[in-house]
Amino acid sequence: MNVPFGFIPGFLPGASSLLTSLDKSILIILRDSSHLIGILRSYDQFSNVVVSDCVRRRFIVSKNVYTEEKRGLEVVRGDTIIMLGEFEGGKGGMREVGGEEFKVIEEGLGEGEENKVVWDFDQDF
Amino acid sequence: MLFYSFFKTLCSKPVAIELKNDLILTGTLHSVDQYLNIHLLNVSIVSPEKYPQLSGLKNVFVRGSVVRYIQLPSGEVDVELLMDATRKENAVKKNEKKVKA
Repeated sequence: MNVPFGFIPGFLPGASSLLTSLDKSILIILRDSSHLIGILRSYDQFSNVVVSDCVRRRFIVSKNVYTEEKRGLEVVRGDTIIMLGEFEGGKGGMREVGGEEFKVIEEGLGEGEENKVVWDFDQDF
Repeated sequence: MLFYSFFKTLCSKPVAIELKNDLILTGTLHSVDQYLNIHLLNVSIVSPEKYPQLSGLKNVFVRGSVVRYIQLPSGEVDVELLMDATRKENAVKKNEKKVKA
C-alpha cells in the first residue's frame, strides 16, 4: 500500500509503525498460542488491533495438524499480542482438520507431547 | 530514550531477536519505536521445524515486551559513543534530581 506523503511523520525517521501493514493480510501470534489471520484495519499506541475477516488457527505441532475457526471482525487487545507480521498464506506443510477431530487429537496427546512452544511466558507485560 | 536512539542508528542492519520463549528471528531491522517494538524485514526463523506455521511470514512487528535479547553486528556498534551517551544521560538525570531536591 502506498502511504500518501505526509502521513508517515517525517520527523521520526526509523520510527516503527503498523501504518504500512494496514489493509494487508496479517498473522498475529497471541499469548495463548493461537494465531489469528485476517486483514489489519486499525491499531493504536497500545498495539490493540482491529482485524476483519479474522480466522483463528490453533496448532498441534507434534501431530502436524491445525484447525480454523471463523471470527469475523475482531478487536484484539495489545497485551495479548506477541508479534504480528504480513502473512502471505500457506499452511506450513500442516494438515487442516475440523474442530471435532482437533479436539480428539488434543485429548489424545501424551504427557510430554503437548504444545512444546510456550507463548504465554512471564506476566510482567 | 537512549536505547530508542541507539536502535534508530542500527536501522537496515541485520539483527537477531531472541524472544522470551526462546524463539529466535533473524532479519533486517527496519524500524523501532519508543516502546522498543521492532519491525523486522525478511525474517527467517532459526528453528523452522518447531514453528512450521510461521513459514508464510516475511516481515514482522514484534512487541517490545516479549523480547529477551537483540543480537547486533559488533562492527556496527560504536561502544565509545554508547558509553558517552550513557554518561551524558546519567549526568542529566543527576541534575534533574538535584533541581527537584
